[in-house]
Amino acid sequence: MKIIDGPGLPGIRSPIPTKHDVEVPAGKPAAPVHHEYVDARYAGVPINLYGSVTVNPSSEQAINAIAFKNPNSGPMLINEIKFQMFGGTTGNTTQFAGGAIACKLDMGQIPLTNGFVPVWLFGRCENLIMESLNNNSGLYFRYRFPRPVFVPSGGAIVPTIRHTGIPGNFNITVGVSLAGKALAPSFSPSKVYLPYVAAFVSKFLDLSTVSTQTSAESDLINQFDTPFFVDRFTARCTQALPGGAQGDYAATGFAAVPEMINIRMRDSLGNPIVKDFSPIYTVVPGVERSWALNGDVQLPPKAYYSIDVQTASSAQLAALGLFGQLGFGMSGWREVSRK
Amino acid sequence: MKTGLPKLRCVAPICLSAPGLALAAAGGSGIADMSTLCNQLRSPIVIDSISFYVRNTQSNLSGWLGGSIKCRLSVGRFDLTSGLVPIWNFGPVIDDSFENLTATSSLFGAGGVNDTVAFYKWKLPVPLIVRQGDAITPYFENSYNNSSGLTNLSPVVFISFQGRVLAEDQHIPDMVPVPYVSIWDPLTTPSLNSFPSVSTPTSHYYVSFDALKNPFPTPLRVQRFIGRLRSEPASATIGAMDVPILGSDCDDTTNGPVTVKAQDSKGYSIIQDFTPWSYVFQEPRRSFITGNLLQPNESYSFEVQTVTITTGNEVRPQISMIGYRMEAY
Repeated sequence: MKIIDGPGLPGIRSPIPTKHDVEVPAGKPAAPVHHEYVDARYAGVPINLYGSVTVNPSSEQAINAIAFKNPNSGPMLINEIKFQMFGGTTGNTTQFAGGAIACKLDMGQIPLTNGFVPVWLFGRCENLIMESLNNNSGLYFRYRFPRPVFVPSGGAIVPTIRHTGIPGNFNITVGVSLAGKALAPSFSPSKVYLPYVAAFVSKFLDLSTVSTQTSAESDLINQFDTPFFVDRFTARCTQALPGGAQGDYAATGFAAVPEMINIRMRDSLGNPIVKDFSPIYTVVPGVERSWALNGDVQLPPKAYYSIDVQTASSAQLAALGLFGQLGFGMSGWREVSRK
Repeated sequence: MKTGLPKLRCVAPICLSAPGLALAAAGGSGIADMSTLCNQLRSPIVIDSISFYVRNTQSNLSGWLGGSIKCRLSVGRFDLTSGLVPIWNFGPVIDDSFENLTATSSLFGAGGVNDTVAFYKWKLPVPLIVRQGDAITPYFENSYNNSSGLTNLSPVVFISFQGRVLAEDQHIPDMVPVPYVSIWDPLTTPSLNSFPSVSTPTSHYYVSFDALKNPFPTPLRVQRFIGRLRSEPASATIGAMDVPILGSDCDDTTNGPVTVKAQDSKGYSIIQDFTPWSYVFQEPRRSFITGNLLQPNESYSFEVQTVTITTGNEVRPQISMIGYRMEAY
């Protein structure tokens, strides 16, 4: 990418490029996984790292980093991250906990998420039934990294968990597992793939009237200096009553949401992605709550996606006093050469 | 057969989404708003997946929606379907929870009436290139059978296409792959009350003949078959777990109420003996993956036999063949 001066602003460069002052790279397709990773496919031993934490409503807590280091030392390739949640006592029921719990991932000083991201926005929905926390039965989410993540010797992917406060009446215990394989100390790839997940979570919008909100430039941004390969978009809707919350699940009124929350979307280069307001689950298919792009689309450095969210109005929902919230996620990876 | 498509260079994602199309009960039809489904960009786009979202203002019927709402797709002179294809016959089941969602309150209906919704997605076997100004035309029809006494079915259907915008200098080859869905949906008759009643010990026998045919002058690369069973009880009640559920994709019970066999047009067996439906189209995905060439004018023939089923219920197979062929662009 080459930054050039914008029209009418000689010598002034915006930190956020626009269509007029950036040459869009010609959409180079994602390259196959580097041969060093292919060679490592059958090397090493399987490894599963686990840590858990109980978080109070509206608070955050890191999980002990020691739990996510390779106990045998040496580097690792991590393939997936899994979240398990429990509500503590019988009677704590919610279909919302995937939005109630947000996670921030860091590997040393390298952020793997753009701040806290609700755990149900990391990857696609694989099993809707397993996402309901009913009388303290667990609920489960999984995110398979689009490319294996290389963790050097002594390093660790450290999750920090936040309870967003809805539901606000009970603690949630969150277990995090990282699965992959431990490798020989000699494995040192020249190129690494760093996953990155960003999200836009709207405020709770009044469903009794037409409400709007626009995502911030910093929500769905490629904040790095290298192109970002977009693997998929994800979306979830939450509807809430003043006394509690209901989630992205079939049982309790969720069906009202798909047509109530509509989005329009573009990128910072001016490309229209969703030209007119459309129901969220027609943009991000309701099946799997995921729009897969498989890295075939790149987001240039400092570019971002912008979302306008607008609710419809419904007298029925107004009578119920419902509010709705959109969560929209973007996940993918970037390639970085190691010195 | 190679698709001939180079690795495509893309500059942005794109989603084309049409507003909801309300279908009248029992035979209502319509075309989704084409102005929203047209490629209005200066560059060609490729479509990777097509998704459907259906809402109906009546409870306990969402499992029924995928088999009764049918869609015909075409882009320009290219047909993407052989006719009206039930929307659950495009892609395999990913999680059947998405096909059977119920709300406790209605968004647009009267108070005390529930909404039901269902989602379906078809990930195309190959990306479909849509040039500037072209559009994929979806025609929908509500083939609801009125005989079971459920008269309040006027669903709203949404369709959307997810894809990518190609770079302006992306070379498009002369020959491009075009997806195709062929459907065998017996007894899709204008007389909506003429389904046979399958009552113990009566059995019914269906033959697809050449419904699953390659009508093109070029070979068809067959990706998979999808088999669904549509059941319709005589009464508007939900069946027990071991019998076909109202309007849903009913499964075989202990002995299997439905069996299937198949052969190709040269007489080679695909499924030699009558086999329980679920052993061919297993419940989690309802998909039978293949990966072979079907030469021009050749076909696959399926035979389906309903052996035993709860008295008063009606059941019929819906089998689709998904693949792609090469076309000159």
